[in-house]
Formats: sequence, structure tokens, C-alpha cells
Amino acid sequence: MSDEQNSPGPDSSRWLPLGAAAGAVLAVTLLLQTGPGGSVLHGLGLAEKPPSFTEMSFLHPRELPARITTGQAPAKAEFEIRNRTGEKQVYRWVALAVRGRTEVRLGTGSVTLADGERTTVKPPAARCTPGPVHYVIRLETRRESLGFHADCEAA
Amino acid sequence: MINERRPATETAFDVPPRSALDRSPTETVYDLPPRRALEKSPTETVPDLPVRPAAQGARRSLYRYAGLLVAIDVLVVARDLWAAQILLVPLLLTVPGLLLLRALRIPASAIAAFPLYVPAASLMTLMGSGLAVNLVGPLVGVDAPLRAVPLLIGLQLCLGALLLAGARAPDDTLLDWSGLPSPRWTALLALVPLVAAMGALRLNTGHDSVLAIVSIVLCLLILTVSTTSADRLTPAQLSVMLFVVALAMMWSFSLRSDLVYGFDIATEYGMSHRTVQAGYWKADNSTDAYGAMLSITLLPAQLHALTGMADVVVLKLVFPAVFAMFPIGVFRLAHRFLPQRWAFLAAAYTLVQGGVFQQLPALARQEIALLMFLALINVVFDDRVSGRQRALLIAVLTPGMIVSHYSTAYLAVAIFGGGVVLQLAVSAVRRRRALNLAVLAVFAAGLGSGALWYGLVTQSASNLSTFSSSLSTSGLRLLPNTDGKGNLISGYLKGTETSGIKVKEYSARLEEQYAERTYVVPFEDAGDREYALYDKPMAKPPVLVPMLRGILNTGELYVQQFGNLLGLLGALILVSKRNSPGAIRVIGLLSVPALTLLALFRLSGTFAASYNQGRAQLQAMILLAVPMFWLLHRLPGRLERFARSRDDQFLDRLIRTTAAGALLTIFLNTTGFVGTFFGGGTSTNLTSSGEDHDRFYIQGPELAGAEWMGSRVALKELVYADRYGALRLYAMTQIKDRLITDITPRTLHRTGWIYAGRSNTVDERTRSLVDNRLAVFNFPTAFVQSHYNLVYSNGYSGVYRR
Repeated sequence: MSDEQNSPGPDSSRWLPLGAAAGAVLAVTLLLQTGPGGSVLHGLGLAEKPPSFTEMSFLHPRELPARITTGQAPAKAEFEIRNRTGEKQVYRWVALAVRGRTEVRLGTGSVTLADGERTTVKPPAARCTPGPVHYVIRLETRRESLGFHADCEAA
Repeated sequence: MINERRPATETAFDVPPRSALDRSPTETVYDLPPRRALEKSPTETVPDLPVRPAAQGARRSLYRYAGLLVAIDVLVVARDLWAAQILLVPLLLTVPGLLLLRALRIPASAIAAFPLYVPAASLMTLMGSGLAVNLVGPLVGVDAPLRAVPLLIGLQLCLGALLLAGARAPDDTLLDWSGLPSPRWTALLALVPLVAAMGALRLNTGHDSVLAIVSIVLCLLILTVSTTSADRLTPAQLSVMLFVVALAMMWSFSLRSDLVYGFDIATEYGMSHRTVQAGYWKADNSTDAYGAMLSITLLPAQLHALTGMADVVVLKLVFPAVFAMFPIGVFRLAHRFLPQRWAFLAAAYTLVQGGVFQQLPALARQEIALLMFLALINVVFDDRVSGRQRALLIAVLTPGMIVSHYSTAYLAVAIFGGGVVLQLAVSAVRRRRALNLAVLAVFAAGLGSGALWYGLVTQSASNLSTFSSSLSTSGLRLLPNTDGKGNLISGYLKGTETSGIKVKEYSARLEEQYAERTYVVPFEDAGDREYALYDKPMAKPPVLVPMLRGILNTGELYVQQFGNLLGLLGALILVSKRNSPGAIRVIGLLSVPALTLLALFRLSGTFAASYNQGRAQLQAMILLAVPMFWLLHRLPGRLERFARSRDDQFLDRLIRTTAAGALLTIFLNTTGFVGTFFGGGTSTNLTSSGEDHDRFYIQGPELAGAEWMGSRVALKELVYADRYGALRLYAMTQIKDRLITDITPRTLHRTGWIYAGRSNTVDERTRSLVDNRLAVFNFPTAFVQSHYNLVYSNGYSGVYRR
């Protein structure tokens, strides 16, 4: 407590340790901003990796077809897959025509995407009997999926 | 200067001579020492930050400040470096304020006694210079003035002018920093918020909560040591202790989540982010009162531009650091009227209130406004400043509060207005003029600058008109949470906070409400049994000691209400007592309207809808803490005659120990510590599960979904999201007015968008509020999927459209 007494003039020796500590903190901060410093932060659990996920979306969500014709690819139903997992991924998708509990496999495909990369996929032709149908696209072994409702018409 | 400081009209409540105050050894701090004594020997009365006695200091100080201005320039250039950011934040929060206070000739002793003036004045200088740049920029061809270069030029011009204005300031404005606590001691304590921050970050990355628990234990230790040794520590040491505990606990919440953590902060972030992106603040905010608040628009944009910190980091790190000064302010204010140990208890009691740690970091605008309000309260009682200086401080701080948060400002104006009315009433009864001009000045300044800002400048007073129309149509809606059995006490204790509602009752209430919303046309099969909703509350971990948990939960409420009662009693005694010292009587006079308003917020659903009662409690606590602890402090003297013990300090110690024990227990409860060890669930500062986590912990993929949808929704299209999914939309989009938060088959329109967050998609749970009651039920996945198109999905959030 003695060092907390008021002194009439500046007491540089009193502030020396604080200055040194502040200097050390700044030096550490500079190091932490480098690549190896970032690895240290990750190692200590103090820095988050970017969130890892995959995005699926229709390119024209407002113009999805209300009618599809069997044997033809649905118009304006192109979808996009975007890899935001932080690493390269191979995506396998499957398109289905669903009516009640019945699923008809319409087609499959696969695409390899680097982190941050995106691609547009044209959906396969529909095969369905006339009536309402749920056109679904799923990524296999993942949770992402898309779907739209339409009336199926004969060719 | 001495004559200028206390003009005859400044306070009509005469401060009695010291002999009247010195009734017991503990009462001598009611008032400050005589002014001449103070000036002769400032270091005797203000042990920290004493005034520098040397006259030569003025020139040296001028050079020092000039050097700091250059340092700010250099650091802004190097702002991409974290090291530069770390230095810039404290510089920007102190240097502008110190220069402004010096230009206003505020004595160093006043700043030393109430250091909160410095950040408050800094924030006001920053907002003032930023606003000037924002207004002038477009006139000189700078379309996005809220960028680093224009803001730096504006700030430097402002600071340069202040530096020159303060160049001839008298020596009593020079601060001597040698009275601060030992650097080693301060550095050691500074580790505590760092541990708390590391604990939060480790929880974010999926690690355990060990560090987070350690930080709470350290805070508990600090609070225990400081409450038991308050007499042996200096005010500066106690202030640092309060600061580190406040900062550690606020960071433990604010640093959680991939974006911001909390309710209002989501909208505040959205607002500040859009200001950052536009590089311009738009004055006309007739459609959105949030946009009128400089604290969440211009200020974060300015701090982002100057320091290089991301705007979200400014809100999560810097704002809580600023607000962590709040308990120091309460301590210093209370210390004007109470002995140090009691003043510290008052501040600690305010600090451990449930809202401070968890709610305030989620209310950026109120963090700033409450600081201004607290500084204003102190100005009223600050007899180290002259009448002119007091008027200048009121003129600076009142607009600061007004532009920071409307509700804080409205309540402040109401409290000061009530204070004026009460003073006039007391004057009439006693037939003696007893009007404190400072109270009148704050009231008038608040009213004037409020009318100017919310009316003429931003046209954002819609919330006032909403309140008045709701008051006229629904009345006060007294005790909305009563159990229907007319139990007034239980209704009062339940207050107006959100309670639960079963989905059946919720659905019935929606039927009534949506009958009037003809723009919602549900699907024909919406009422089918297969789509029936059911309650789906989150499973809670078992409570290991139910009785203890129950006592703690209800105990906190009872302590708070008992505290309010003590505050009321104390205030009434202070007001009615003939020989109450002037300043403390004014505290009593302001506490009465504050308590009246608190009671209204607790009793009236209409008032509660306009301002959360927890936040009102915190704002009022600034005033109530003084009469409350004044009463507790006076109690031993009154009870002495009944005490058998010969130890005349026994009762004082007993009451202090009881109060300290109560506040430490509340601390353990509000920090979630009790829940961790005794079951029943805990708060998000200690866990990555549970109700709060589900509601407020925003994840990156949820934001991606919200952002994707935000850019595709057209004007006037209906958008659905549940109550907490909506937070993701508030943060990332401008969707607000056409948002419906009831995702049920009977309330979904035949066209529109639905945003589903993680809780909806992964846990298939949704939450909705009706009549201030929260329903938690299943997300109607089957209905939504069979009627809407799933147009976006990322595994954690989805967007449906039809």
C-alpha cells in the first residue's frame, strides 16, 4: 500500500512495471495476429473456426414452377450448392418426386467443391403421374434439402 | 473561482453546518469538507487522482495531450493491428473527455471524486464530432462521412479546439495520476476479466466451462474481500475491484454467440451494421426509433472506423467495458452521502441486480444512456463544481442521454420532473423556497433536448404516441399476471415479467386476435387434427436441492422488493426530516418519483410494455441505493439502546454482514453459479445448452439463412419467424414491420416467407409470445413442408416460401 501514497512529482519508477507489462501485452498481441499466433489461439480454444455448413438454395425462389410436365426438367428450378465447410467436399444429391409416402427417384448427381466454391445444378426431368407432387432434392448423408410443390401434367 | 462556485441561488436546501452532521463518527461523510479546506489540501479529501499542485504542470499537460492526439493519429493509421486497437480504445474513451472537462474548467478534484465524468464526456465528444462530420460531410462532397479519414479529421479538429480552449485553464484542473492504485495490483486484477473472456470464448468453441467458473469464483473472492475490507482500501482500489467484477461478468455473457448475445442487441447490431455499411447516419427515423439513437448508429460506426474493430466487436467488447464504469459511479455517488463501507455495499448491491450482467451487455443503447444519467445525477450533487460548471455539465450530459436511449431519457425526465413537483410541494408546506436549481435545470434540459431530438431532428417519438394511445385504449392494465383469485400480493410479486402459457390457451387467444387480421387467410386444412400443436418445453436438468433453489430464486425477488421498501422508507425519512442535509434530502426527493414509477412498471401491463421493469429497476437503483443504505447505516444508531452488547459497532457489523451475505448470494444466483452445482439449469455464461442458449445463442449458419432471405423478400410480403428466430432477421435484414411471430397452421397466410432457425429446424421447437406470455410448442414441420416450398437450407436454418 505504500506505493499508493500521493507523490508531488512524477514517479517514473512506479510506472515502469506497468509500462513493461503493457509493452509485453502489445508484443504478444502482435504475435497472436500472425499465422502461428492464430494457431496458438485455436489450440487454446480461444478462436473459433468459421462455421462449417453447406448451403442449398433455389436460384429463383419466387418463380418455382406450379406445374411440371413428366419427362421434362422443371423450368426455373435450378438450385445452387455452396460449400462453406472450410474444406473440399464431394456432394451427392438425389432428386425425388414424392406423393404421399411414395418416393420416385428422378436422378442423382455429384459435384466436388472447394471451400467457398458454389455451383448451379439443373434438376433432372420429372417422372410422375398427373396430380400434385412434391419435387425434392436432397444431399445424401447430410441434412440439407430443397423442395417445391407442383401439379404434374402428362407430356 | 471560490465565490463563483456556490452562488446563493444554487441550492436552496441549505447544507447544515458540520456540527449538525457530526452526530456520530460514521456520519461525517454526509457532506464534503468545507470548500476552502478542500482547495488547500485536496489530497487529504480525495485520496485518488489528486490535483497536481505544481503550476508548471499546465504547459507540460498541454504537450502531453498534443502528444496523445498525435498518437491517436498514428494508431488510427495502424488500426489493422490488434495492438493498435487495444491502445486506441482507452485513448478514445479518455482523451476527448479529459480535454472537454478541462475546457469546461471542471476541477480535477471533481473528476477525481467521480471519474465517470471522463468516459461520459469522451462519449459525448465522440458523438458530437461524429454528428458534425455526418452533417457537414455531404455538404462538401463526402457521401460516406462515417469513414476513418473524415471522422479522424473531425475528431482532431474538435480535440484541437478543446485543447486550445483548455490551454489557459487554472491549475486546479490538472490531474495528478500518481494517486491511482499500484500498477501491479491493478494488472493482477485485470487478469480476472481476461479469464472471464477466455472462459466465454472456450465455451464458444465447444470446450468446458472450467475457466468460466474460475472467473466467477475470482469475482466472488474480490467481492468478499472488498466488502469485508472496504474501510481499509482506498476508493480507487474499491473502484478497480468493482470495475473488474462488472467487466468480467458482462464479458462472460456478451462474448458468447457467433454474433451478439441477447434480444435487443440483435436489432442494435443490425442498425449499427447498416450505418457502418452506408457510412452515413440518416436523421429522419420516423419509422424506427432505434435509428434515432446515436449510441447504436453513429457511435459504433465511429468506433469501428477509427479503431478498425469490427462493429460486432465494438458492441461485444467495448460497450461492456464502458458500462463497467457504472458501479464505480454508483459507489462514488453514494460515497458523497455514506461512509465508504456502506457506499461500497450500495454499489455492489446495484451491480449484482439480475439485469446488470446479462441484460445490459444486450442493451448497447442503454449502457451508454445509463452512464450519462448517472453522471447527471452526480452533477446535481457535485459541490466541487461551480454553478456555471454545473450548468455546462448538464448542458453536455443531458443531450448525451437523450441521443443514447429514449426510454432512459423519458424515465429520467419523469423522475426529475417528479422531483421538481415534490420540491415545490415541500416548499409550499414549509413556506420556504426549497428548489434545487440543478434538478430543475436537468428537467428543463431533458425536456427541451428531448423535444428537439425526438421531435424536430429525428421525428422518432412514435413510441411515445404508441404508449399514450395504448394507455387511453387499454388503461393501466393493472397486475396482468394475477392468478385470477384476486391475490394482489402474489400479483405484485409476479410483476409484469413474461410468464408461460399452454399452447391450447395460446391457440385460443390467437383465434381471437387473428379474427381481426383479415390480411391473413389460412389454408383450408389448417385446423386438421394431424397438424394439432402440442407443448414442447425444453427438458431441464434435475434440481439437486430443490428447497435451496426455491429459496434462492424467490429470495432474490424478496430481497429486491425489501430493498425497494427500505429505499422508500429511507427516502420518506430524508424528505420529511427537518434537519436532513440539503443534498441527501434531494436524493430522497428524487427517489420518491423513481419508486412511484417503479411500482407503476410492476403493477401496470401498459407501463411495462413501454419499458422493461428490470431495466427501470436498475435505473432507479442509482437513486434508491443511497436512501436504502443510508437507512441501513443509520439503523444501528437507532437500535443501540436495545442492544445488550457493549461493542457499539456490533449492530453495524451485523447489518453490514447480513447485507453483504445477501448480495453475495444474489451474485452466485444471477451468475448461474448455483445452477451449475445444484442443478435446474444454468445461464449461457456457463453452458452451451438450455433455454437461454436456445433463444439467444446465434449461430453462423442461422445468420447465413437470414441474410439469404433478407435480400430476396419484397416489400409488403409477409414474413414469419418465431420470437427468437426473428432476432436473426433483425440482425441481418431490415425485415421488421411485416414480421409475424406466430408460426402455427391457423396463422400462416397462403403466401409469404417463413424463416426457421436452428431451434425450429433441428429441435423442431418454436416460441411465441401472446399477452406477455410465452408459449413453447412444436414447430409445425409437417404442415409447413406440405404447404410451402423449402427454398433454402443449410442444416441449421431453412427458408420456406409460397
